[in-house]
Amino acid sequence: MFGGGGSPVRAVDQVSFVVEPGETLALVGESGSGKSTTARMALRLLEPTSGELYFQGEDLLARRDLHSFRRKAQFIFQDPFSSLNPRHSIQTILAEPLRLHGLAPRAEIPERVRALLERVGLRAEHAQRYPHQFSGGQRQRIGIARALAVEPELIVADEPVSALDVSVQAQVLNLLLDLKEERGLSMLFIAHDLAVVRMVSQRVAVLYRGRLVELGSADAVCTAPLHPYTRALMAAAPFPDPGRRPGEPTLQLTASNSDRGCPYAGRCPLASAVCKEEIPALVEKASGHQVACHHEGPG
Amino acid sequence: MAESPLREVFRKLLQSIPFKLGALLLSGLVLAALLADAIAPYSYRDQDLSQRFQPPSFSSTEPGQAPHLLGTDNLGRDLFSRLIFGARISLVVGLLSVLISLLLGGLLGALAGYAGGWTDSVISRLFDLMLAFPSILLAIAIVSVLGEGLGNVMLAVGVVGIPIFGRQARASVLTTRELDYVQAARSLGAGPVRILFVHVLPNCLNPLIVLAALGVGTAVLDTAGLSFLGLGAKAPFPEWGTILADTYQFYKRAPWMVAFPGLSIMAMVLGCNLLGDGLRDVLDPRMAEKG
Repeated sequence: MFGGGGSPVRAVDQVSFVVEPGETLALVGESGSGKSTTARMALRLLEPTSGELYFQGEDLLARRDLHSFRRKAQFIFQDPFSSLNPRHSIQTILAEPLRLHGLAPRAEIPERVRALLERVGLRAEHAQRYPHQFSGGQRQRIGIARALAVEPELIVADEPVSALDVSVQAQVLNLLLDLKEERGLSMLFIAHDLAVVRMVSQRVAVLYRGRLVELGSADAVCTAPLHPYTRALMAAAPFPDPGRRPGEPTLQLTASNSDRGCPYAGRCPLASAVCKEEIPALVEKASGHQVACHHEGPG
Repeated sequence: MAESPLREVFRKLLQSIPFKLGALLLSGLVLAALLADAIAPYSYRDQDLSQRFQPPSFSSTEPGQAPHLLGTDNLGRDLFSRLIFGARISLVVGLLSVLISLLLGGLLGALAGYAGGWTDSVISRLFDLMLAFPSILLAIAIVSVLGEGLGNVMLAVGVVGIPIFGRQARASVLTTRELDYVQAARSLGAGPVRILFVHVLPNCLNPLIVLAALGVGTAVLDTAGLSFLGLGAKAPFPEWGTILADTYQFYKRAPWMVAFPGLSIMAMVLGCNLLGDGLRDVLDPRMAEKG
């Protein structure tokens, strides 16, 4: 009745990528760059206002019934403290996907739940407990077990370790990597931690203010970034390498909100007149390495 | 054995002093109501005109008869017996009218919060409209349409409470439905009805339980008020408000006739409020901070 008002924010605009079977594509960017929005739209947990979404060749946006898709693609949440229903026991939480998709006869469900728990490194007797009795890392394992329950082919993981203690991040990452190998999963991995990105992904897509600015193999993007934003991001990352010197000045916070031009122009050390006028297109500079910058190229 | 959330709530409740006081007060009233036939020394309706206006006393006024602990009224009826039977009425009426508010308000509010859009607008404006009336006036209006009588008073008090529960339910659903575990249920393929009833509503119950406990007190008070005004229970039915209406004119000559029904109402309302406060401290700590 009193809806509307104000101009809508384009959280994500013209972001386009493909996750190949068996591949992990990492989506990186700073807070507010649209990573989570993109991740949720990929599974239609949020509805994109425009665009295209294909899964195994099928147009997802044209589908009204997503039930069979839900079995093939699963989401892992960032915050393990809000992603488990506090009123349900772990047994109930892990049985839900099995029941919803009729994946196991009623009598076999406890056995399946036990197997899931053991696969993610928890014990069978944990099934009787409730979420608040677990640590963050354990909860995240439960979240992973829940996603695995339907035996999906695609996992979208929204910063699955960023809310965890550093000491357990590596354990949970290793679990994810093992599971990916074991089951041949494809993964869309959202992250802002570049060390994590290099560890888990084959390709990296860099988002800035809801736009894709660079896309390439993990090695290429991390060692020879083309976009000035990616370079600043790499320079700001605390890699454990004492001999390494920051190559770029740290980010200057003089961002403008102009609709025209490159979204990064306000902060970019290379910005020139053209950057303030025209949005650069994403072009392929090396094999499989795309960048959206008027001054692309190292140096 | 792991402690379930429910057990933890019970353990914390037993540490809460307001909860224990409220529970004690209410369990006394509930027991009296349940065992009224056994406890009450006299019938609630038998008049004995030779025993009119007897003051409260521990000794019998007639040999072989039970003493009139709280005295007698203008028709010689034992006040203690009448109040005990009245507890039964007040409890049933209070609980049932809150049940009406809780079920209808909860469902409407949950629907508004979950569906959003024009459904939300229509339901929310309806709530606003109902809240714009003073509650007792709205109840009187409803009773005058439906006709007098305890059943209709109960219904009216229940209807008046709908927007209070409805708005709370809507607000809780609005916050809960955005939580990750609700999104997780969606991504697992759960349908909207299952999500609402299995994942959203159960996690919205705590503030509603608190409101319900507090609401029983209000409902008892409103019912007594309407009965006092002559819209509810009729003599000789020993509804507390009706008793007050029948006796208040004698307050100078026989003050106990007014004091004890009043104290009964107060005990019931106080018990509900204490219980509600205790529940709130445990179930909904954020609400307690706001006051």
